[in-house]
Amino acid sequence: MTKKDLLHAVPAGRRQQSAATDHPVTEIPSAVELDDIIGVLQTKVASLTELLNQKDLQLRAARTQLAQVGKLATLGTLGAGVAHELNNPLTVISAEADELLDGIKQGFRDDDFTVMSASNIKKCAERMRLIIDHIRQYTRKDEEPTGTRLDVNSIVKDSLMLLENQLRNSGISIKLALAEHLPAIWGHANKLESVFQNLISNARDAFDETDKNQRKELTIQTSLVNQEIVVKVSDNGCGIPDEVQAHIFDPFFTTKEVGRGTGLGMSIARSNVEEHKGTISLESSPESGTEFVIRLPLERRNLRNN
Amino acid sequence: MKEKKRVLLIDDEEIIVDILRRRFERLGFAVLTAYDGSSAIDLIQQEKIDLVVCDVKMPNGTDGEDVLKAKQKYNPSSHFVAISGHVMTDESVQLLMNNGASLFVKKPFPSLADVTQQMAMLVTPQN
Repeated sequence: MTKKDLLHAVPAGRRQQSAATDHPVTEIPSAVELDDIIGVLQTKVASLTELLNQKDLQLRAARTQLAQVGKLATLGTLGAGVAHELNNPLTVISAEADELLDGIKQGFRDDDFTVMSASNIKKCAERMRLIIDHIRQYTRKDEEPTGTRLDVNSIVKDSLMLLENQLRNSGISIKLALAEHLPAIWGHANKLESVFQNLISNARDAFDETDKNQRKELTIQTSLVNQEIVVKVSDNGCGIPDEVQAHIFDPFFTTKEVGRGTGLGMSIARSNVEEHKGTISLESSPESGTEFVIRLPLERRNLRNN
Repeated sequence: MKEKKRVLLIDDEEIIVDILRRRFERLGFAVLTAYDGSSAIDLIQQEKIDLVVCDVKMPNGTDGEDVLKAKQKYNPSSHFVAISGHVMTDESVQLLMNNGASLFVKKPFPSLADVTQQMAMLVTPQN
């Protein structure tokens, strides 16, 4: 109904009597008054729309900040792992440098030993460079709002980089079943990586509850099914109770004690997956452990407009 | 001729084991090596060992604590040095010392010479 229709439908200044009570029930405004009312409504709607737009912008900004906080929180949890990853090569560098120095002072070195020590130092320095580079990339705010082409298999491997040693030292064996020739998708490498890291470190924590002598396995599988890239992260741990499963993606929901874990990891993970127009789901039981399934559609430029 | 003291070096990082091996050989020790807890325990059961130098955290389920227990059982007179690249709480270090460790060393080693000298001194105080 247009404003014009409304104006024509109402004769000017007519009062309506109620059949039952004789009291006037509806005062029908004049065409001019109606015009004014509609004008006022339009102004109100315009200003509410403006307000909504502002709120939307604020929400997007908050969302970006939350993702950043989430990243840093995940990095905090990875912190111990990072320190250890860097510590190992550092130990070798320090010890080999001592070998070289003492060797020169005490005369027990020869060229073969010198070359070996120096090569070990170089190898370890390179490993540290990769790890530090990786951390820098991870904490930098995404500079490509529209994303880049990604190889999901590479991202899976990168996500293990900072966690591998920790997993090994906890006796967890990692099995990768990555499909060859997965098509590239469009997205944010850091965001997807943080999703996988979150699932992997949750699996690691779940294994803490497991008996030391039981075989612990973490499996990551990628495949292409129905124009979607499917990533499955599964463990043979103790499973997730039904009541926890129901809330697992809720922000600030955590089963860890105070101070350990922010409860943001899974909700940010889901948010990141959804930004890639994907879905994340899980199946879990005490008998078979837990399996998270992430599906990422293949359409080009499949990011939601950010 | 004086019999060589025997040291068992255990760490899943082969380069670390190799660096320590070179040092101990220079100090006149006979060196045995292992890269995981269960091989280490096998050696402890089979060989006479004077000094065990062992990384506290190793993969595959058997770690420094287990090796220490084995040493107490099969080679009780030997010394045990625990080394670690992880953050260790005072309590966990104390626990190791209470269970038979003679020394705890953090990685990276501030000075390789000092650290290996300290370890060697445990078995040859007159060195």
